[in-house]
Amino acid sequence: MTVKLPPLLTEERLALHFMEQVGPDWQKLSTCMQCGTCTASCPVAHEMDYTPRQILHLIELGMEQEVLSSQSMWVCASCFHCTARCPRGIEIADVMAALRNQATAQGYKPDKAMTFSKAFMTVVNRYGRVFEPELIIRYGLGTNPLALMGQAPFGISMFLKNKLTLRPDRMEDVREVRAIFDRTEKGRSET
Amino acid sequence: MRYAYYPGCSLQVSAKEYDLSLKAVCNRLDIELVELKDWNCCGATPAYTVDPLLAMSLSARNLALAEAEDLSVIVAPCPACYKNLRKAGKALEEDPDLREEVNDTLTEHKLDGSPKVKLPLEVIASDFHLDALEVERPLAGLNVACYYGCPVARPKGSFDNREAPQAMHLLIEKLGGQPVPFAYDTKCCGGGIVFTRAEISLDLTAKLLTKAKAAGADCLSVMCPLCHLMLDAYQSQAARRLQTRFDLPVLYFTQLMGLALGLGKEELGLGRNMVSPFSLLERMGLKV
Repeated sequence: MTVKLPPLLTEERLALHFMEQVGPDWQKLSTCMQCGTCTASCPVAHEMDYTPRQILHLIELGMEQEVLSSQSMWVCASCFHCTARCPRGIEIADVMAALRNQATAQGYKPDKAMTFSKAFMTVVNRYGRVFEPELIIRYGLGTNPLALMGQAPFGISMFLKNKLTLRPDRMEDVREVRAIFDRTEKGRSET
Repeated sequence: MRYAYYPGCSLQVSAKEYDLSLKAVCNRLDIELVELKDWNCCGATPAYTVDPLLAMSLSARNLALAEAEDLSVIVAPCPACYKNLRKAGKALEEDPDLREEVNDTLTEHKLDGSPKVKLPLEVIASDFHLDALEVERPLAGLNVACYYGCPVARPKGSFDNREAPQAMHLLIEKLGGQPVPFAYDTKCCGGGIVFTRAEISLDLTAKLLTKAKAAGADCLSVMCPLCHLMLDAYQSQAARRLQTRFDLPVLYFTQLMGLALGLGKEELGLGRNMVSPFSLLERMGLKV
C-alpha cells in the first residue's frame, strides 16, 4: 500500500507526543533506518494494511490517526521475530502492543483482539489463572455469538481428551492477584 | 539440580501431557522441579495489550515466589510465561523506580532480586550433560521435524543460535532419531491469533505441516504448548484449508525423550495427543 506522506512536518509532529505513547523505549524508534528486516521477518505482514516497517515510519512522521486506525497491530501474532532481529534493538512487538493499548484508550473502533484481551484478563482476575471455556464464551458473546456454535465440535473433541474441563483451575487464594488488578487500574485512572 | 517450576495455565489442562512428560523426564534425570506455591497466570500477550504495569506486576509476583523459596532459576515451559517473566525481571532490575511501582502493587510478596528464567529445552540441553543420557529404547529410524517456533526468537539472552537452533536436533540425534532438514523450524505457527484471526493462523500452521511432510518427517517435535495446540489439535482444521490430510503426530520433545528413556505411555501422556502417535510408534517398533 502506498502512503501519502505529509508535505511538511508540523510542530506538533516534531513534538513527538505520539512517539512517547508507544512505550518507554520510544527514543529508540527514531533510530529506525527503514531496513525492513521486521517486515521481512513478519509471518503476517502480507495480511497487514501497513507493514511493520511502514508503521514505524508513520509513527516517526507523527501520523497518529493512520497508525491507530490501521489493522496492523491487531493482526500481529506476537512472535517477536521482528524484535529479535531488529539491528537497532527496537522492541517492535512491544510497540505493536502499545498501539493496541493506545488505539483502545483513544476510542478507535475496538478490534475483536481487544475483546479477547479483555475477556482473558477478566478470567485471570476471577481465578488467578486462565479458564479456557469461560474465556471462549466471553469472547464469543462479545464478538460473534453464532460463531460459538461453529466451535462446538472442536470444543467437544478437546473435552473428550480432557484438554478442556468444566471446572476452572483456580488459585487457592486469588486475593493478591485481585489487588494487583485494583492497584494498577487505580494507577491508570489517576494519570 | 534444583529449579523452581512455573507450569503456567496451559500445562494444567490443555497441555497436561507436556507437564507430565517434563516431570517424568526430569525425575529420571535427577532434575528436581519445585512448583511455585499458588502461582498466578502471567497474563500472556493480553496483559501487555491491556496494561503494561499490570503485566509486569503479575510476573513480578511469580518471580517473588521463587525468591521466597530461595530458588534462583525458574523453569517456564510456556514461551508466553517465559517471555513475560524474563521481560519483567530485566525491566525491574534496570529500573529501580519501576521496581518500586510494581512492588507497590504487590500486597504480600516483594521482589528484590531477579531470578533467572529458562525453557525446559535450555535446562536439558545446557545444564544437563546429554552424554549422560541412558537411552533404553532408541528412536531408530524415526524421522523427526524439530520445530522450535518463536520461543528461541524470544529476545534477550536466547540460549541457542536464534537463526539456526541446534539444541533439539542434537537431543533427537542423541535419542537415536533422525532430524530431517526442516527449513521452517523457527517460523511462526500463528497460535497467538488463532481466536481473533483464525484463517491467517490456520494457514501458517498448514504451511508448517506441509513443509514437515515434504521434508519426510514421521512426526514433529515441539517445545511450546501453543505450537502443539496449533499443529496437533488444529491439524485437521489446517488440513481442511488445503483440502488435504497430514496425519502427522506432534509430540513434545519431552515425550520423545521419555520414550527413548523407556518411560511408559501413561507417564508421558501419550494418549492425550489429538493426532494419535500409537500407530507410528508401533510401525517403528517402539512398543509402549
